Amino acid sequence: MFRDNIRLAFHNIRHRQVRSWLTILGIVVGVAAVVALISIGEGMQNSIEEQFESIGYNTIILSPGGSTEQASGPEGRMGVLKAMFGGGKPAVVDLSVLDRLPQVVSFGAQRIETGMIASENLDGQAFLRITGLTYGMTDYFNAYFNGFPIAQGRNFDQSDRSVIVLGAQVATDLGVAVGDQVQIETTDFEVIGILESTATEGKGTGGAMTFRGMDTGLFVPIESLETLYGGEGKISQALVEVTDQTDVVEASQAIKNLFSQFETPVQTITAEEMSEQMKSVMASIQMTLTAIAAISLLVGAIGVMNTMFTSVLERTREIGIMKAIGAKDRHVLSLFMIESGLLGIIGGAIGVLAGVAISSLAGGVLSGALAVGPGSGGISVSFAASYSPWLIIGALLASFVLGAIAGVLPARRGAKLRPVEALRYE
Amino acid sequence: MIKLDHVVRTYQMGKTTVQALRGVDLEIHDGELVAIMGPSGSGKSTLMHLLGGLDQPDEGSVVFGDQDISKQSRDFLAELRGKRVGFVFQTFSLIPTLTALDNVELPMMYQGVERKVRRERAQHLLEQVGLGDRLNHRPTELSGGEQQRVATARALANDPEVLLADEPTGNLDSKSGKQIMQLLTQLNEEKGMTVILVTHDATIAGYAQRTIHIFDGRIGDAAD
Repeated sequence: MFRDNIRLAFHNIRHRQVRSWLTILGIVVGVAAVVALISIGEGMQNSIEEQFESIGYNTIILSPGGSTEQASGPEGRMGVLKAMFGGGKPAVVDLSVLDRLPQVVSFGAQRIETGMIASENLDGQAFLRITGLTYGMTDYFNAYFNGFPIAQGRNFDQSDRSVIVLGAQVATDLGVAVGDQVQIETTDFEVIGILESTATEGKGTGGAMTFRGMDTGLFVPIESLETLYGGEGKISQALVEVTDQTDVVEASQAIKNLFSQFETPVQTITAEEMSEQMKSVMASIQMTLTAIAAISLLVGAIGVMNTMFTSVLERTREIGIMKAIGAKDRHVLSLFMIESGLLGIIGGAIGVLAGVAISSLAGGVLSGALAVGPGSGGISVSFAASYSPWLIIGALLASFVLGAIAGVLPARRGAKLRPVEALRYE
Repeated sequence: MIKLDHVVRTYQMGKTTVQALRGVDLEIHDGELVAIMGPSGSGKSTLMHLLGGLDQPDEGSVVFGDQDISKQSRDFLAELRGKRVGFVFQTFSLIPTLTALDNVELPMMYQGVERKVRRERAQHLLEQVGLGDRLNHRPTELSGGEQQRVATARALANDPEVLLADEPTGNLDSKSGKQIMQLLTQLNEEKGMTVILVTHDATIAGYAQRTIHIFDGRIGDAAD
């Protein structure tokens, strides 16, 4: 009987194609939006986690200024963002005091400035962010710089000053090769290396967050920025690696205390804290968006209810006939509920496919939009949306249940009809 | 046997109360071919609904076989209609989206008959009413006479004891009407099925062994 009703329900849906598809569309939009947002969110969460795992949880990020408060709450989140994007204005911090802490293995600093760039093959000038690096930084914190893979030329030497390493994209844009000159403000810099493009690599690794910003980065020795812009010892951000045995949070606090003794207060944040807080920021954004998407799903369900009420009304006589030839109330009830459940699950299935398609497309677009790598003073997120089987099963189940629930009231109305009255209905 | 004992049925039509049946006593025996005759508005359709368990009386009792069905549940009546009664309506009342075969299968589906079995039986019944070549046609692709034959086949699906036909020829030309009436009389004669015809047409009533007249909700003796 149940199977027969499913067959009949399918038949009825097919018979009212336009209305059925429009109703289904309402569910498709809702489910697609929810699935897309959740899988994008999951993908981002995963990539953040993977990225920080690759950087290593024994890395502490330090940026000048700020208070001694712990990085939590809204203030803390601002701190995270500041740290990510290379902090505010560069300030003088004497990192050599870090040698006093036994748990510190290595450290390095970045200074980020924005400068006028010119080259022979570039029409006019470009206003770009330049990253000054302390020597050895790209080796100590290799993962943070995505391996800093040199495609042509070489990496920095300790004695290098007016030399520059370019990201693949920026090298193309400026039209320069290894050995050419790039002018920053009024000083000529020799291009000594060009990095491998990370764009293709990022796609290949799937879920990993990659420093897409590397492609647009201009890297120079930090000392040459001091020559250009003055302010010896100024940094935007420092990375500190502590030994594996160290309690990273304690070390982070120790670093903070150390610098406040020298009256150059710093903000510190561990890779884990940063990861947690980025994830929590992402999660709350994701939750808000998903809630909005869920509202559209609810509207879709109301559409199903509307269609089913129309259907019951329109088929009143049919219901009368069914009852005259032996259909019980529950037969009528289940027929209509299966119909609305089917509308729901068909919408759900298409919605899941659409959602998966949207989120994989959005993955590319969004990671481009968020591209702010260390080259421009931050981290870029490129990721593959993550589709857990539970999300898909859950979405299908939810859309069937939602459809069936939306059908309860109309189906009950149909089931409760008195056969004589239903038969008399024209 | 169906026995009505002082049956009263009133219903609301908008704001007016219609007294459709005002105390009807009636007995229909097994194997009878009976016509219930009366002008429109006389209560003959209401009477048919009560006889077939589509409706229940406000007062009095309706005994179907040996059971009083006037106070039974909706499910009980649904089962009665499904198993023991077959309806043929003036307007054919087929499900428009289903084929002839599907329409005939439907009553068996509600009785939980296996798909294969009911398909065979539906096909057999349609062949019997001369529609073996119209199995997969939808009602709109059939003539009125053919539709009414599908409806009759459907009424026979669960091999009922009683066949109730409400103006079965009302929407048919005389030739098709005659065919339907021959079919109904044949069922009565060959299978001993109780057939109750509701009509205002004396020609149709002429097929019956007995005619019951109804006026203003009462069984009348006008024709006697």
